[in-house]
Amino acid sequence: MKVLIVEDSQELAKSLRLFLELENNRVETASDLVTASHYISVTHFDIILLDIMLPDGDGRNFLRSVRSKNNNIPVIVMTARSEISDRVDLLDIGADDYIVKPFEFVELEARCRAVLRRHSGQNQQALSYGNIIVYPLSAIIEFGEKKISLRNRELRLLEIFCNSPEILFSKEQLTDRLFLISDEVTENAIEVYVGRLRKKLFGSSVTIETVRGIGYRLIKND
Amino acid sequence: MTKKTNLNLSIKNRLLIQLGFVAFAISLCVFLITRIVVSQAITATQDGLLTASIQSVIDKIYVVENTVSVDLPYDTFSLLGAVGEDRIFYRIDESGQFLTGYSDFPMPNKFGNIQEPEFSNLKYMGETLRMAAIENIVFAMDKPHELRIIIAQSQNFQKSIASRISSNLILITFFFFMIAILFAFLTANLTIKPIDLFAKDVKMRGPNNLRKVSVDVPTELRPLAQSLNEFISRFRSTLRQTETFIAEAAHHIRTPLSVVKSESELALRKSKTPENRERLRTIIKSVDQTNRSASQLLDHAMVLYRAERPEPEEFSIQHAISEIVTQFKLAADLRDLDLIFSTEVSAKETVHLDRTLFETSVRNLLDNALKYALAETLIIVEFSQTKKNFRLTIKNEYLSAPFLDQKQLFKKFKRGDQTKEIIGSGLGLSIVMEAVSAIGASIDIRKIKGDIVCATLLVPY
Repeated sequence: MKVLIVEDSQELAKSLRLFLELENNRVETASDLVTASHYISVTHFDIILLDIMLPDGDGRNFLRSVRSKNNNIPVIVMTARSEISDRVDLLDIGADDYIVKPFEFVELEARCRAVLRRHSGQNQQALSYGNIIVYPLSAIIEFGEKKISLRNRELRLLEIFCNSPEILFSKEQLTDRLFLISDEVTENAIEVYVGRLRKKLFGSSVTIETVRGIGYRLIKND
Repeated sequence: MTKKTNLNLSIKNRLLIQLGFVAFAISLCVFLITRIVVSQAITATQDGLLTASIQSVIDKIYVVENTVSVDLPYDTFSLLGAVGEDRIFYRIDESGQFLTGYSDFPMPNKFGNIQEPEFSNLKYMGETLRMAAIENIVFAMDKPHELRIIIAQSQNFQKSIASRISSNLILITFFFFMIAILFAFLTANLTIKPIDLFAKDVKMRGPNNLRKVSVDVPTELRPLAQSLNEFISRFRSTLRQTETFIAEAAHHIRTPLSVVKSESELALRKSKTPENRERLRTIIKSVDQTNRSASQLLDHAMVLYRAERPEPEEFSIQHAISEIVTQFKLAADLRDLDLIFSTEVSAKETVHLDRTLFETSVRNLLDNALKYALAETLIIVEFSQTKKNFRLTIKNEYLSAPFLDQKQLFKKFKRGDQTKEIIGSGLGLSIVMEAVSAIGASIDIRKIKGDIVCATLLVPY
């Protein structure tokens, strides 16, 4: 995914960039509207993360101008203002979603995924590994004749594994990606979700392997 | 020590009591004066009769052979006695010698003359009598003879008339008193009406309505209304400054908080040691707590401001709720909660109220439901219509539903013992209460069965 971050706070932009790059995204940052306009005129982005209060103007005007050019690139507005009128206003002028600062990466990631899914509609890409096909929009896995529905965290976990098959993930890494910091997470929470996924994947050509003392990975059955 | 005064009586009741006392005093005076006048009239009538009787006695006095003789006018006496079966007493003396009548009848100290008899009251033979006494000189053979004539009459008839008139007078006075009380009541009501209107104008407004008092008040109340309006103005100005300060403070807090939070999260993702991870989680939770408090304070300030200056608008209530629920879907998904919305209300149904206040209350209720719901459970949002209200219920399953003390529930910064581990400011439900009161709706939160908690919001048509 190619992301444009329009944010005047250098520190915030930097940490957002680092986070998104950790998730294998390509990221560009713009600290003002002029730079942002320049970026979108020369490059295609999958999504824009847009701040409102920028040194050379209001992010809402930038959004209006983008939409007026029939550019329907997904835009998530990052705002420090949480008033309802602002939220309604943002959606009215064409924001796909908004996120109130300070936010958690898990929430930002989820909002990005949701917006991208909405935009891709029926053309969304399904993930596949072995004989399983994961449909993120409908939260279903398919293998053989079976269609099994997944809960949100099960889906997210499977997405993580399917995006990086055979890569080992520690419990901590999975916890950070699956849960909000504000969630009360029990010690065996990851085991519980891995256990459930294993049951649902039973009969397919893939399984989640436990590597003792290290973590979990998605592998094909021998 | 302060002296206790009885301030429980309302001005209206005080006025009524005072006017009642005045009416009673006037009625009593009218009664007494009338009674005295009537009594005087009766006495004057009796005096007239007695004078006429004496006159007729004098007319019957004649001198024969140097002797003074009297033909007693029995017809006159019988006429006097016939009235109310009164008794008649008389005594005639001539030059100190008893002539006729009741010899033991006491002699008065003073005597009048034929034009002006001397009248007095006395007791005789167990009767209260009215007596007329005169002294008259009769000449016989050129010799003067002093005649003293006393005629007295009992007062039974007068008493019975006085009693009858008094009875009527009591009725008339009572009627007068009642009319006076009625007028007192009307007067008290009319006098108190401007104060009532003034009080109503102040009382009917919501707890946060700080509009100026605009009702017309009498001259005497103008200083009070003016002082109240000045106080409201000062209070509004202070409130506005506070709101602006809170809003700006929250805005300036959030951006640096975002940096702290994202840097901490990045560090957390890269951190390997459990101790560091725990420390970073604690930092992030503190940032969340600070942010939440700032947001809630901002929301609270906004609700207070809107409650003071509501901006009602016509909107589809079903559509508004549906949008809010949609916006909360992602937050619910992140916590593996199923947020289900069902309604039987048409999207065409509209309400006329301040949308921001309404949405704030719904958002806070949903936020609470999401925050305290047991993982992987349902949050059911139902929207329906009753005869008088739109009814929104939000049901969720608590990890361990606490006892919900209705008094404590909506207090500011009050949090349940079982919610200490969950990030929150304790302002959410008090914001809901403020917003709900400002739009004339009502809220109720209770445990319905097991660990299910149900919040019910009733919005009148």
